[in-house]
Formats: sequence, C-alpha cells, structure tokens
Amino acid sequence: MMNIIKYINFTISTLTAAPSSWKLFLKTLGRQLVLLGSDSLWLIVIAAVFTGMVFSIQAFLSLDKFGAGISLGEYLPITMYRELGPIIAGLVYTGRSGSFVATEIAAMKSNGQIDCMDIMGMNLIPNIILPRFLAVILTFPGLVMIFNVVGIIVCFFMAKFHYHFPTVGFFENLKYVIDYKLELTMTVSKAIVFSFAIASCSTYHGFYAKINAEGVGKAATAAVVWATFSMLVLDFVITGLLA
Amino acid sequence: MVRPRGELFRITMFFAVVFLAVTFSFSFSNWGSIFRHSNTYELHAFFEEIGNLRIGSPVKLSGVVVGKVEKISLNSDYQAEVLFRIKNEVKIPSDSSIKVVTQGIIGGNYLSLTPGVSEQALRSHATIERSHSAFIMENFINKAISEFGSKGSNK
Repeated sequence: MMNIIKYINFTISTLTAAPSSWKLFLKTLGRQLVLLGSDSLWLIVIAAVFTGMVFSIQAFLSLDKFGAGISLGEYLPITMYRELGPIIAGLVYTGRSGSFVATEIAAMKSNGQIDCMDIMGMNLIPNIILPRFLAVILTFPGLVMIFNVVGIIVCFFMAKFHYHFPTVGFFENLKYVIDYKLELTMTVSKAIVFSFAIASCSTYHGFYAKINAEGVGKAATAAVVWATFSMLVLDFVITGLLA
Repeated sequence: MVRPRGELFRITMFFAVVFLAVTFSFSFSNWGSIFRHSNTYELHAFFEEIGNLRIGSPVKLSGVVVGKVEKISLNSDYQAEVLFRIKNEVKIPSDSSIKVVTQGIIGGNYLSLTPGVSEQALRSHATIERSHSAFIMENFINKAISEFGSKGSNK
C-alpha cells in the first residue's frame, strides 16, 4: 500500500516537474530519444514482420476451413490495430527500452552519480527522470503505429506471393476494414496508456533501486515485470471500455 | 558516444518514419473519408429489414464498390433509414432500385444498386424509392415450414 502511494507520488512529481536547465534537459532528451526510439526501430520492425507472417499463416488456416481464406486481408489489419500492435510492440519495447531506462538510472545511483548531483544541489527529478519519462511517451506510440503498418504490408505480401490472392484494391479495401471508431481509437489509446505505464514503472524502479549490483538487476526485473503486468491489465480495461 | 549532429539526424529520421506510418493509417482508414466528403454525394434509402448491414458496409453496382454506408437509424414508421455516400463520378439514374445482399453464406451484408433507365440522375440527399430488404434465411425457413405444414394438414 505504501509502495502504491510512493509510486503515485513519484509519477505526479515527475509529470509536474519543470526543468531548471533547458539546455541540459534537451540534451538528455535528445540522447534518450535516439537510444529508446530510433535504436528500437529495427527490433520493432523485425517483430512486426515475423508476427505478420506467422499470423497470416495461422489466420489463413482457420479462415480456409470456412472457405473464407480470401478474407485474410480484412481479418489481419483489424487484429493488428486492435490488439497485436499495441501489446506485442509494448512487450518488445518493455524488454528492450524499459529495462534500459531502469538499469541506467539504477546504475547511476549505485555509482554514486545521483548522490553527487544531489549534493551539488541539482534537482534530480526534472534533470534525470523527466527526460527519460518523456522519451518513452514520445517514442512508444510512434513505434506502435510503425508496427501496425509493417504488419499490414507483410500481410499484403503474404497474400500476394504466398497464397497468390488477387490483391488489386487491397489498400483501397482497408477503408471498409479499418473503422476509425474501433481500430484507430483503440490502437492510439492503448499506445498512449501503455507508454505511461512503461515510463512510470521503469523510472520508478530505477530510482528506488538498492545501491548494490543486485539492486541494479532487481530494478530491471521489477521494471519489466510491473510494466508487463500493468499493460496486460490495462489492455483488458481499455478493450472492455471501447468494445 | 553518439555525436550531436548524428543524434539530430536520427531523431528526425525516426519521427519522419512515424509520420509516414500515421499518415498511412489515417489515409487508409475511413477516418480519412470524413475529410473527403467533397468527392462523394449522399443518398438515402428505407428498408423493412437490413439484416447484418453495418456502418462501413460497401455499396456495389454490378459488383463494383462505388460507395459505403455511413449512417443507420430508425425512422418514425419503424423502418431502417440508411444513409450512404457514392463517388461523385458515378451517376445513379433516378428510377434505380437498391437491395440488401448477403456476401456468401457467412459473409456480411452489402447494398447492391440496380440502375434504372431514366436519363435523370439522382442528386445529393435524394432518396431511392425502390428498396428490397435483406433476405433472412430463418424467416424463409419458418415460412416454408408453416406453408408445408398447412398444406399437409389440409390433406
């Protein structure tokens, strides 16, 4: 119970913090955007390519039993936008970038860097936590959108070259498949909510890590476990609310 | 250590890719159609039964998609009022008829237009008077069973 209050207090103080030195803040934010965003891009694209291919095969197996194999191009984009995009990109991103944020902050703490900054009178939350928090919020929703689009393009190639379906008007047909009220609202709201979950869990567990080697490892584990857990619960809540 | 100039380039490239993905998603969804109303015109039709017709279901003419359903509501006579949009380049004769058709045995429903012979084309916000409701398999089976049953009892 105390931990939940501490977590909420930490998240609120991060979100309301104002950076004292904008130059330092922007420099850290820029570096974090590269490390968490563009460096994760290849992993997200690979995850999307393989998820798209596997899911096309699996979906075709089930659809073909009812003679509806040709509906693959209508079925996969819906699944991508509603569920697979946010949740798989979220799990991959937590494993790669969430653990990175937690470990970096915990290592700074165990090296004594955070204590030095504190003694120098530097405000810790706006200068260390806020740029990392913002970097996660700015990069994750974009990566989810990239995941969805790559998944659909892979589905198009699977339909065209593997199953030899007529794919004329495949993208034109998406207009009748992707309904903005369900698919786009769901994918965007899940991406934004998940990004807050990943950002708050990883910064919180990194900041409150124990000052030893084990503490760093435990911080990374706790960040991944709690971010994954909260994402799965929030996924159910958002799906229930929007469906 | 990442050099600052390379850093800025990589951030710009990342957000450029994100922008492309967002544009793709929004332009290929029916969200885009909200801003593209100028390319389409609106027509209405009333049906006794629309079956599984949904918002976003296609409107076809000779099997070619020419528009889509935008709004479904109930009027004061308990009829389903369907509002759909047709591409500007497709002109529909004023005596055309429209019906709700089922796509395959398990597929969804769509609207099928049968063009008339009139030289006058329907204008925006017009209503198609001749409409045929959806074919509901259960109703047909019930009717067949009751008719068959009544014939059997007459003998």
